[in-house]
Amino acid sequence: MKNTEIAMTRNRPYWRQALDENWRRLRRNPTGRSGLILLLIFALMAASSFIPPLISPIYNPMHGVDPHISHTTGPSLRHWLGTDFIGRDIFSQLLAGARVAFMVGITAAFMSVVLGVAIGILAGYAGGWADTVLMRLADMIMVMPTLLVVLMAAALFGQLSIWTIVAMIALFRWPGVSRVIRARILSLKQRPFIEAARIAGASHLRIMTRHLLPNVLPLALLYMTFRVTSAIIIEAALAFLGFGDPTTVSWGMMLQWVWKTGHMFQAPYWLLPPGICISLLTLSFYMLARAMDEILDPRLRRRGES
Amino acid sequence: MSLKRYIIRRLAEMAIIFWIIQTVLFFLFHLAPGDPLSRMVDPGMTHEEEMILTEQLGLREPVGTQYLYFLGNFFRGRFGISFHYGRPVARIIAQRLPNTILLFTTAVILSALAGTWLGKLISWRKENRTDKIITVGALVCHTLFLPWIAMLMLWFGAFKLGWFPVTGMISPELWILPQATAPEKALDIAWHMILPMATLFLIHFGSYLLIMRSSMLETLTEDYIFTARAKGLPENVIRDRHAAPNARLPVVTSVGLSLAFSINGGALTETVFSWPGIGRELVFAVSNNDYPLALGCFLLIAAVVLAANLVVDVLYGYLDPRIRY
Amino acid sequence: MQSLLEVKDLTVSYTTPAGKILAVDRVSFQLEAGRSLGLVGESGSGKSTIGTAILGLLADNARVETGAIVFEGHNLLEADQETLRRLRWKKISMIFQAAMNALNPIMPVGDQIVEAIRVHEPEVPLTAARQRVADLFRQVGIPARRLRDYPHQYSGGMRQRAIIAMALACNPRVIIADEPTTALDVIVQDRILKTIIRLQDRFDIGILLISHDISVTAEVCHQIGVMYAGQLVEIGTKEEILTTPAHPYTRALLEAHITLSNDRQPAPVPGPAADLHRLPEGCRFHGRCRRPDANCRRQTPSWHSLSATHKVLCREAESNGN
Repeated sequence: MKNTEIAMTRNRPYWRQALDENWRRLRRNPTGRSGLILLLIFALMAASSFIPPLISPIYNPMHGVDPHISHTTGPSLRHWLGTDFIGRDIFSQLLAGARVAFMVGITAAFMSVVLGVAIGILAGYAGGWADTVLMRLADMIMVMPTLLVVLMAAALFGQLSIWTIVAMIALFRWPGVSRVIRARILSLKQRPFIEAARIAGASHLRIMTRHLLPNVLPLALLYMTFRVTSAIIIEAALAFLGFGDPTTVSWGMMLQWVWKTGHMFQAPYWLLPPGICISLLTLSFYMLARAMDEILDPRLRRRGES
Repeated sequence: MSLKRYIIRRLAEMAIIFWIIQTVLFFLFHLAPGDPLSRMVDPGMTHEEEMILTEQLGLREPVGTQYLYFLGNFFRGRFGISFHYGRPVARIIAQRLPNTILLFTTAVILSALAGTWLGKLISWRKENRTDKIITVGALVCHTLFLPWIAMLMLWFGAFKLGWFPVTGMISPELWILPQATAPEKALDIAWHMILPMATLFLIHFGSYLLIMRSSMLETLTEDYIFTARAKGLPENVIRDRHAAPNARLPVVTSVGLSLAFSINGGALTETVFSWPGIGRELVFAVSNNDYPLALGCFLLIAAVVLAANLVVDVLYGYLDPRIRY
Repeated sequence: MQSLLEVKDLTVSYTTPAGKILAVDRVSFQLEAGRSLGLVGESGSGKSTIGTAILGLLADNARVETGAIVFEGHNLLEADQETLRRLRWKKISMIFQAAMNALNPIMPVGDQIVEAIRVHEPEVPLTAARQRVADLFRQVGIPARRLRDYPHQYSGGMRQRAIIAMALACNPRVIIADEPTTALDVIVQDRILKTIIRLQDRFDIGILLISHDISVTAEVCHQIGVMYAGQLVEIGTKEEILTTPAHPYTRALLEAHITLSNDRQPAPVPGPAADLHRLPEGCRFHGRCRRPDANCRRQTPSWHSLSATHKVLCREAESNGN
């Protein structure tokens, strides 16, 4: 952590440099590289999701119904991965699902990490009763199974939109992050450069944002990557149970259709792709996170990964 | 005796947390759009039934009084009447809870034992091909999407092979036979349990293995491992008596931390396999707007997670003599 | 007469990301039964590496390049793993620094010692092994009832005593004591050193004491070797080293110690510590030496005997040695 301390005095350019260095090491790490390659493939899928509906309205993932087909069919030239129970194209749905997964995963993870970092810095820096209250709150939220909490919300407030789901995931997935960040802040607080900043007359806000924040940023990035996987899984599970946003096509929803319409045993071409995609996408984020973990600081491993 | 005091303190903490969860839920039920009354009273009830129930739950009182009724009723085990079953929620939960505990704890304990055992073994052969293959396998297991793997299990085990039942926990045709013996019934349950348990096992096994492996690798750099080597202890003694017991500690912590997350998986597994547990009941209740049942199931799951956390903490203290309560 | 332990021309290298370094460079010394040799030097001088090399427990990135470690007539560097394992603790044991995490935190201290006995002497019944540990505890001054306690329940001094008891558990011939009193306060340090001296006399053990503090070695050892940048630069009896130090580094160590003898923390020798990645030409110490001449920068110094027991690796000794 020597380099981050120097970063304090020379500010931005140095930690950018450190970031570049870590990025290079990440690409050299076999786990990290496989994760990145997989992610690139999924990103291409997500990016090309708008193409099929342009080719023909029958490829619209949600409303596109092939006029000649009103039931599920296997893979064909016309429908590469076949069609679902009302004749919609599975391949276009799969591409659209990639976009939803990225959207949900990254925004939910980003929001929960922002929340977690803010609360972690505040609790660690303020100490005293603020710390106690915030950490108790974190403990409390930590024991709540997020999926079931969102289910309860669905019971009370009816159909949830995709953004409500994202917000709820963020709201219930910050405590793990804030605990790690807080622990880090507690040790950073002992370092001379914080004392120096205080003597130099820096305000609390300035110390928190300019001095402490840059030091926990790599850690925050790491936890964000871990959180992406859990956010994707929660959204997919929710959609699978039938509580997803009905206006979007997500992989979890595709699985729900297979399951609910009783095609689980008859249509492997329909059952396999969405499951493989969810599993592989979470795997690639997870591999990326593990590689980052190894690179950043082996001693920080494992704490609050869930 | 200090352990007793610790447990009492933790129980008090748990009670407070639980009370907060209850309170939040109660007010959410009241703030949510729509008529709060309709959430506790089944529209299909007769007038007398409705009167008795509103009386019992204090539904005509002001919100503050209702809240007190709500808390009091909870401790008397009155969660209201399920819309769907038309029976008290408490009785439904009492029926479902043992099934969940049977499936979930067996799977978690088995996978924790197997995962830490294998994690311990492969950490000793780091940088070896077996280690790499198993680590990648564990990574894949850990990130598999649970409902999907559950469906694959069904497709393969119940449909392709036809070895296991498709859904449920028992074969009713066996249980109605008067001559069915207890061992036969137990075997029947075990037979139904194999696929859902295999699903939960697979998911948890991977993560326990990964945690144990990295914890072992970290422990191996400790000074006391060097001491053990210097003492001329055989390698397997160093591994089993010195490295593994220390490496197990972080695993126990992470079991506690990830418990809430595992519960999600439990609910999904129960749903796919129609295992009559509390998680499936919650999903079912939410799908059918059976509010009293959903509320009861949720509160109970929260209580179970809190209690399980306490068990994990006590277990940790038992494994690590440095912890003093 | 054959020595109990003889290190001959030992060279150990480490492979680091920045390149290969020689942590121990052609070091030779002998240790007799019932005698003690102190190795002094600053961190990075290679003294600890010698200890781990003798036990055959070098780190993964370390390699013995040349030399021999002869114990009771056998070269340990040629022994197979199983032979070495049986020899460890039974014949050569080690006293670790108590400030380190040398004891398993979740195992009672007594059990950790009993375990060592039972591995090397399986014929000893459990009760007898326990009895032996209780006796050892008495000898190092720990009440036997503390056998069942865990390391965190001990004070620093007690942990150090327990580690000494552990080192004695199998009646070894040689004990390697690596910084046995570092991080303890002065009074405790004194008592521990006295215990070591007393036990050594009684059991006729050869002790190799490794320390950064020359006063510690002076208190315990018959012989003292001074190490600098991987090399042994001077070796002699305690009296010779203390009264007629020949190497400028030895002198600097002694002076540094005297200046701050009040709190017994040796002051560092002035100048930057040697960088093993960039060793200077000629004498490795010339950059910090007070009286270097032009030749020190160019010529590698060679050994000069000052007496039958005293030798030094310095050119200066040439000029005023006669």
